[in-house]
Amino acid sequence: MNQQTLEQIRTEAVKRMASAHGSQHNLNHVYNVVKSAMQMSHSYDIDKNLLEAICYVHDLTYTEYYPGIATYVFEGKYIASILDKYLDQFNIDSREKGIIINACKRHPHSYPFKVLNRNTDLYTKILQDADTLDMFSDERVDNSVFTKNLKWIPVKRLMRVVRLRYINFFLNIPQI
Amino acid sequence: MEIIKLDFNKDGNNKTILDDPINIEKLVKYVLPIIERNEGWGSGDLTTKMFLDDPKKYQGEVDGTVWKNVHILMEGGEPIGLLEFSRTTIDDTKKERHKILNELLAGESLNEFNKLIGSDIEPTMLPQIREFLLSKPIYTAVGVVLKPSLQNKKTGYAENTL
Repeated sequence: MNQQTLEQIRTEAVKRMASAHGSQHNLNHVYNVVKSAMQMSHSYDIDKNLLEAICYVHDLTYTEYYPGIATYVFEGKYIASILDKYLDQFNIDSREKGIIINACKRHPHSYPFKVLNRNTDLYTKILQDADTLDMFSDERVDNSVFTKNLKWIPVKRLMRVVRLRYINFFLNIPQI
Repeated sequence: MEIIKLDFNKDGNNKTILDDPINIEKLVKYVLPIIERNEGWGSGDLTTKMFLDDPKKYQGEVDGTVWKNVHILMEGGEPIGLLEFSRTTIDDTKKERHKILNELLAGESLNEFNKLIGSDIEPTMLPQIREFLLSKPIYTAVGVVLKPSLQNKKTGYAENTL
């Protein structure tokens, strides 16, 4: 993917994500996912621009749907449908479009359901792992309603323990 | 453990009517506790208290939760899981059904199917399988949110084969 296309996708996606619904899928989350994914990609010979574009659009679902159980469960289906139309405005070929849609469609449900993508392409694996890592971040844990409502339970500490001890169970490429 | 079906009164745009006290009662009793206990893994931020303070403010979150054919899994009087699905019939989705059938009986899907039954499907069997599938209803989307511990997923991982 060329730099110009990436910049167009980034600009457009950031604009849309600024009005995403819910506190867990905001722009900060997107930036964190981009940062982690780019760090992970250093060891691999993949198209970094394409990976970055994938990260920017992976949660566009939440610009059209409010967070909730149905949205969460059907997120993969929703994002595939959204991207199928959304990506046509950019200068990308069908192969790139397919990679983006596939990665975004398969990215949800790593934690706690362990629906991973260990046998798929690197873009999909890296996106899902970067998203999972942010799920265990202090910021995300602090923002969760579970943490806010149960202050008497040391959830943050528990999540840190899980992150350190068990996060490999929820990653496609734990060695990274 | 039991499964109960929940029906919600919806308006013409398929939005849950939040003036309806019965809808509110069902949401508070069966649905919101599941969201509140999600430990922050992504099914929403809504709490019973927030919702009761101003139900209409959370129209989007409610509609993003109770979609179609909502079922609740109960254990010890507590809701522990939510299942919902869309069911369509052959008459009104004939084109979609044929598209799905073509996807099911070709390429990667067929490989998965072969793996599932442990042998290769002979091409001569495809028309018969197609006819069998055509006679069945199609559930275009089935979703379940259930405590991971009830899925035997304390260790290891599941492959996403969608």
